[in-house]
Amino acid sequence: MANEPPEPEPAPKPRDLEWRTLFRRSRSAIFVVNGRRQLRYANPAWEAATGVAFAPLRGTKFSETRTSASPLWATLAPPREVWRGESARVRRAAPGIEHGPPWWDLAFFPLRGRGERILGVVGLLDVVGEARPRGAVKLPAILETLRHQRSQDFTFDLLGDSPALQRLQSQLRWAAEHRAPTWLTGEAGTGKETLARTMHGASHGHFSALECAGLQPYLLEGILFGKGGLATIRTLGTLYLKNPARLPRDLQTRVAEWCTSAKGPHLICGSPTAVAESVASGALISRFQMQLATLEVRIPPLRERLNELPEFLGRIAPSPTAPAEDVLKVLRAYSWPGNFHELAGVWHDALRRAGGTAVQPAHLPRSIRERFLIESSAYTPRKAPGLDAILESVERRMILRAMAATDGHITAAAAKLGIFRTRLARRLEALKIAWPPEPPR
Amino acid sequence: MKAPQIVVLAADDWLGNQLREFIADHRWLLREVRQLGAFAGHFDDRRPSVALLQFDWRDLRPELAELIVLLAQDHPEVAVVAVSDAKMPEDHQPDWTAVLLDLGCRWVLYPPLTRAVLEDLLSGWMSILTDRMRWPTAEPAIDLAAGSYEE
Repeated sequence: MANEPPEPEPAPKPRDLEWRTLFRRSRSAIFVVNGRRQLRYANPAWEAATGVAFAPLRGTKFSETRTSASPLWATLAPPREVWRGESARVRRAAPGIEHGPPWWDLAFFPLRGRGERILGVVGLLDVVGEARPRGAVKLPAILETLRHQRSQDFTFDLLGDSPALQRLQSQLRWAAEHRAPTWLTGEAGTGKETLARTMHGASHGHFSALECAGLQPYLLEGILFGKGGLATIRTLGTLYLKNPARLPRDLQTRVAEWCTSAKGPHLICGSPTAVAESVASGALISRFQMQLATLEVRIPPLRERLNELPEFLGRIAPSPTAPAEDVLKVLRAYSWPGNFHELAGVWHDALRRAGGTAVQPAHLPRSIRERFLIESSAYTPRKAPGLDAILESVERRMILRAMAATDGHITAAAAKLGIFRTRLARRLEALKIAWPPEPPR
Repeated sequence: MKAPQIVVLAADDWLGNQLREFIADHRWLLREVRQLGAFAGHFDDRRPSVALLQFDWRDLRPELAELIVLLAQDHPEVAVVAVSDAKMPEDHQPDWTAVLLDLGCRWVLYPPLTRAVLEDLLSGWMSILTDRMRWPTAEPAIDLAAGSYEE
């Protein structure tokens, strides 16, 4: 661009006033270049988009080549074909940066006079994408693509359709929208981290999960507050702390201060115990209960949601055919102490054993099949035993065990049971247990 | 529960050498893999596993990022630890940590790496994973049916 002194502003003609009024009111950023390649006009939206005032730049001339121009004029310069009478659209990185975002999408329309003479060019500017924060690092595009794809997998549909779960869903949606600190209580493997990711959902920033149990305090301090740690991440949106009561108390205090500050992330905690219980036991500082558990939610274990088993299995491994009913019966008879983690492991193993065919009960682990056989056995006691019968049964078994352990030696068995020999003899008679043969002398 | 394992995906044997003795002391399995394609197969048998993935931040392979996502989605019993093999400017580290944790890594390590940190991290994660896979079981009950009641 040649830095020529701005031309004195000519007196506006009536026709000029018409298009200027139209452009001034437009929300699109518009600028006009005259036939001598000088900037003739730019509207307020253009000033807002470019961040520069138009008045001092009036009459500034675009150079013939973009490379010799300053960044702003190189970005705004109409391409050659526009001066030949063709309209054009280009996307250029915003001035001063090598690559977008943001990009400037520019559309150029030649203004034709008589005899195809080009009187000037109207340019439209659209800013696309947000600028990365100063000092932000350009990461490979694949990472952002994968991150986006992964976030699509976590939706509130995962929660299920029962009225109780629908209510839970609305509570979690509210907490997600208002970035309310949330405390998720549930057994191991019930999907607390999955729910935390779902709450993070489409919100801006990154999601980080941190396990607080089992790791050395210096490692936790390093990843939380060390160089390059979580507290230094400008783009951290949600922090999921697993078992925060296992953090050292000084780190709990620092986490509480960070997460209650304006720059802190949205904190979601997951724990097997309720927040009040953790505070009462002294494992957790009270600030977590007062400030960092606005919403407390209990996640039900899998054994309370066995009617949704087909949907869960479909999510673990999508399949065109639904699991057979006899397989579901076996799975429903089991109590699933490891919850979804255990179910995922069992189902993946069953699929592997099935080798591409439909899963049969035989493909399930033996322990789970045995539980089903016990549950479904036809045996039912005719009458519940009374207390005397139970005590007698226990006494009989303990005496028999003691006798077996002492090779039938009555005195040793009585000593083992903590009673006198005469009492043991009476009990043997009463319980009709045969006296053991005398050991050889 | 099957024996825990540490699976190392690295271009050289430096990481494996740092940990070999420590892993042997704990009677865990050490598997060293050079090829990305052979890596995921080591997690089919669902045992507590720590996956140490060496990455070059200047030239990250897309397949490596996809592998991190795959392990995070399908293998809750695996803790993925990303290990940068080249020194990274300090101002780059927060961005890389953020995106790698978001993809599903459990930890990110940058040079200089020390044996003590690697060992503490491994033992910590192994205790977490073995606890996670040890489901609580019901208390053993007195089998009354074996006593006089059945008679």
